[in-house]
Amino acid sequence: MSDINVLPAGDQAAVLEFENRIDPDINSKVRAADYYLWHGSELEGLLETVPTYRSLLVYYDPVVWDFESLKSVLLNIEEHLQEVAIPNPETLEIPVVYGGEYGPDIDYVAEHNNLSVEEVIEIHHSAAYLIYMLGFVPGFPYLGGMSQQIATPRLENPRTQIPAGSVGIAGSQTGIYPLESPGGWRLIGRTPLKLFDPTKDDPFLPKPGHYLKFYPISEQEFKSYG
Amino acid sequence: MQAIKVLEPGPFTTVQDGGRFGYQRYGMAPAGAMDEVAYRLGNLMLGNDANAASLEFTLKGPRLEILQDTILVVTGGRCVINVNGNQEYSVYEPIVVKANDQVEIEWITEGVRGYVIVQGGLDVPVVMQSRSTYLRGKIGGVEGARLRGGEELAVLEEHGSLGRALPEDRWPLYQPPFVIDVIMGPQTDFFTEEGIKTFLDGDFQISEAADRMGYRLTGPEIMHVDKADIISDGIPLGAIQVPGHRQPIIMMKDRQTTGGYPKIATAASYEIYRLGQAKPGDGLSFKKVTLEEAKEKKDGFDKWYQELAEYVTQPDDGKKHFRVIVDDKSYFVSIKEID
Repeated sequence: MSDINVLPAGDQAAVLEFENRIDPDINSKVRAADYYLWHGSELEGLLETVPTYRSLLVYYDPVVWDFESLKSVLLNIEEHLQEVAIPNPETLEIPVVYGGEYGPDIDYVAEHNNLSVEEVIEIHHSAAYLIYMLGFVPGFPYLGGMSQQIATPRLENPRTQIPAGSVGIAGSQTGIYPLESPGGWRLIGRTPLKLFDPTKDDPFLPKPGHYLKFYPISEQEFKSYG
Repeated sequence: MQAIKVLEPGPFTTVQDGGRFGYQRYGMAPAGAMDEVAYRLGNLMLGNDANAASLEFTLKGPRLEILQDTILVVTGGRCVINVNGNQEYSVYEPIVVKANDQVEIEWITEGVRGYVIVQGGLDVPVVMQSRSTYLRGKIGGVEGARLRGGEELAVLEEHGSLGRALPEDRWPLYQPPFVIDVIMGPQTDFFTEEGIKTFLDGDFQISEAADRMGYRLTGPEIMHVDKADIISDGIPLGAIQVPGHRQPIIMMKDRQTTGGYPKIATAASYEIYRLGQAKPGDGLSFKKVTLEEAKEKKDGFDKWYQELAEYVTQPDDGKKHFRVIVDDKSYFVSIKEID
């Protein structure tokens, strides 16, 4: 049996922890455990779960559960994961207009890495990124799998206002700003898609444990979106 | 039909209900009333759904113009409610108001947050199953923002029957210093034995950096064994993080849903409403309880709340209630006519 642990997080939540590493295989266990709890286990009294890199926060109804009984269920969860067919992760396609006013830092990213702008775009959009988790602000995906070839340090002076949909690089991470906010990421492009749209039945485009891929579009295509 | 107009919002006022659940996995905090006890009791008193939307104000309440005859109540932090400049009411007392009345809610003198609850509950748009304002997500309430003044707010028409005022000797207390029960974990092992002792024995104070997201405390330094970061994980309500600056932060209703600081302990669920009434400058310390002790205290808390809830939902028994000041002390007096 693998390295698995359950810790109390107050009197109404518990944390199920897998190995203490950032690793796609470990994250897929988090996703499987999460999926099993909601779609296979038929357990009552679970209120909400928060899947992250290597752990799952489980909020429970204290009328139904006490920590010890939930802990014993969660400790044995790996034995039950076969009982439910876990769908393959999906890949979310994100259109991006690279460079220009939409990605004012793309020249810097290219220079910093001794690449052409075209090479930066090619490297950035050819990878499939694992959505390890969402957090920070609603709909913000923590993505894994960016090539070190385009890694670039953050801005020394963060911008006070970054438009929603901006795609950026910070160190060896890439990400998308779902909402207009301040931030220090190097901006290389922008997507016309809304990652977070509270008016939709399904308000969040990125889902934890799934994959995300960028594809380049022209400025004209960008403007023709909704 | 618009029921109230916000003439002046006060220092910080938002629309809140019971919260928006099920979206923490997408990075969305639940938001919701910080002091659920005061918030729910007010709704029950007016015959509203316990989760009806209200105005949550901080430090001082709003000034309102009443647009249609209705009933309202202010609950939570102690304050005086002035109607038309010549009638004074207390918290936890239903107030019958008429169109064109002016309602001014004074500064809070105990606690820090209050609720203006209008019969029926505020009818702002439901966004993702809740009316709560979540500022960081720019959703809920009035355009996802704090009130700025000038808003006209509608109420829902349906409600149950009016209950009765809660006498002063039964009002929840919010007197500092606060001693808050905590359950150790999930990352207590990131702290030295001395650090854990400092956390449990130390006297802390709520700093100015305290809002609906969380409260940063100041006090003795809590030492980590080594690093002050973890691989980011979920942050439960009431989690107490200790970043590299070694000062604890209590995570509240608008918290980030995930974070990379180790959490030394988590406040017990029955302490959250009191934390919601703690303000900058208040003293605060932590008391370790086991999960069994927390369960027992939670049962006691539930019983206490249930009794209050049952009391306020009963119809008035014909008694009249007065606030009387004798020798500078305030009394809540109930008088019944016996012909």
